[in-house]
Amino acid sequence: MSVVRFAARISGSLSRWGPIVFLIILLAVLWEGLSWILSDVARVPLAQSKLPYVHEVMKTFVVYWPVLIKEASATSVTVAEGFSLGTVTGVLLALLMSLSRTVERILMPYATASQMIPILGLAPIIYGIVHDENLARVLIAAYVTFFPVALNTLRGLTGTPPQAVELMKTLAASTWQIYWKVRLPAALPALAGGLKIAAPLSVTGAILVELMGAQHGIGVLLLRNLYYGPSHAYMFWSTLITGAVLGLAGYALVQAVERMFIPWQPEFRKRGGEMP
Amino acid sequence: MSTSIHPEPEILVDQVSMRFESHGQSVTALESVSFAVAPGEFISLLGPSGCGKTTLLRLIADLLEPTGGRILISGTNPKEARLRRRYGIVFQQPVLYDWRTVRKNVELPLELLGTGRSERSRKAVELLALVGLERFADRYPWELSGGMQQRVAIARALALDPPILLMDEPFAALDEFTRERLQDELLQIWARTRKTVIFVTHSIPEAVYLSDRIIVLSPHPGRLNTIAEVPLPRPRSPQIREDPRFHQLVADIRRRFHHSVHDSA
Ligand SMILES: Nc1ncnc2c1ncn2[C@@H]1O[C@H](COP(=O)(O)OP(=O)(O)O)[C@@H](O)[C@H]1O
Ligand SMILES: [Mg+2]
Repeated sequence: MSVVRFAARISGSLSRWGPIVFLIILLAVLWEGLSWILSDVARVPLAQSKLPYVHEVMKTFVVYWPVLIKEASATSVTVAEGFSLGTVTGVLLALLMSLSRTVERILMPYATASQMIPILGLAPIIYGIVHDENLARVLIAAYVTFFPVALNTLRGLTGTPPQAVELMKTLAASTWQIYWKVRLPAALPALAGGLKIAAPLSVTGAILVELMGAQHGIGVLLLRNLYYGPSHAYMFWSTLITGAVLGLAGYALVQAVERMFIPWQPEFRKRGGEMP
Repeated sequence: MSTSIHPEPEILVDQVSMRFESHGQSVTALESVSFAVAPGEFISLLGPSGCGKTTLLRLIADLLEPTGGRILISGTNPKEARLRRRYGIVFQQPVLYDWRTVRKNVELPLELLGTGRSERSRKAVELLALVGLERFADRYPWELSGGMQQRVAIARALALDPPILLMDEPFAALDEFTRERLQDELLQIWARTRKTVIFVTHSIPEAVYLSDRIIVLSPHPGRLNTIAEVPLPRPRSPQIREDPRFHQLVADIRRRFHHSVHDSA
């Protein structure tokens, strides 16, 4: 019995993770092959800066992981702060806009216009104003977070099925009760959607600010390795990958939290949940 | 015996009209409808779709305001009655909240009232037993069949023990077998709780089986066609569905109804 169940679990996780692992290995092999062709066959100048050997990049991970971890955590702490600030701002904005059409009409154009400003231009401005690299990073991460969060949450709040709200009316519920017990829970899946868009964005936003002359963080490491040129190509790439992993981790974290707190969504339900 | 003329009606619908204005067009959903419902009476609103049954129920529930006439519920206006939680309502869709378990859905009205946790839970379990779902208290709505979901909605409507129960085609989406079983359950609940029920349906046998009186509406615009008495004995059991008197009543209403449609056509 238990052997069968064990085998079933193995085959279950194999069918789930198998394709992903296979794809990663395939990509690594392709990459390694292409890199070899560029460097040793075609002899392209600076080939290792363009497409480094995977094994060399991996080697820098093994040797320099303490540095990478240190800079990555510097970045992630500020990203987490900014992401939280942006989330709170976005949810509050959505609440205000859902409560009043007028507020929505006033705020929405500014919120939308704010997203037209390139972060590349905005980052030095904010840095120039606050003169604090930490605060600037927090603000930029918050800045890229609040908009998708506000937009999605607003859609969730106003898109609550009319009957769900109507039933609360028949129970003589107050506006506050309708929000707390129906509109907000109904908007949570949309809010999670916004957070999943915002998480990787806030990482790249923070890294961008770090390029503007910060002391710590993934962005600083990137710039330094770029500055040292081809000799640091492998380190540059491993830093880049670390940055990407940070963004992915943010996304995965949001998804895990979503699974924990919004488990009633159709995609999380057990298969065959319908009963006769 | 139903008491159609009662000194103090529980619900009074007096010359009620409802006109909707949308996109510059105006639709008269109800025209000058009047009737009274006695306390403890089981009344059906019967008619084809589009004749204004839902509109009438929503007017009574204070989800709409009439453009003409007035409605009195236990002597007060519908808004007052709603705020005093004089009625419980069941829609055609169960309208359960996916993030709440079955028990928590039934507890919701008590929660809004500020009832304590243990009292809430005790009451919810009692109500779930009344509709035969105590075993499913900790399931989620989406784990239940349509018929079970509708029973949860009925339990929730009864949670505050309101004197009035409003139901808008609550069994229309269910299969024949489930529907008949729920009709019997509803009659049992009604016999036990003695509520005033307004039950909207487009099924003639359903209206006859359940009601003391049937308010028959005709469409375009929604108007009162007739009020039919149902002199079948109570308590009613499924055998009554086989009774010739039952079939006669169904045939009578059907005939009256077809006449009026031909007249207006
Ligand atoms: N909110 C609304 N706006 C405009 N027309 C409506 C609205 N609600 C109902 N109606 C119209 O009123 C009439 C009666 O509808 P309804 O009460 O839903 O009928 P029933 O429940 O008997 O099927 C229909 O013609 C419908 O189109
Ligand atoms: Mg209807």
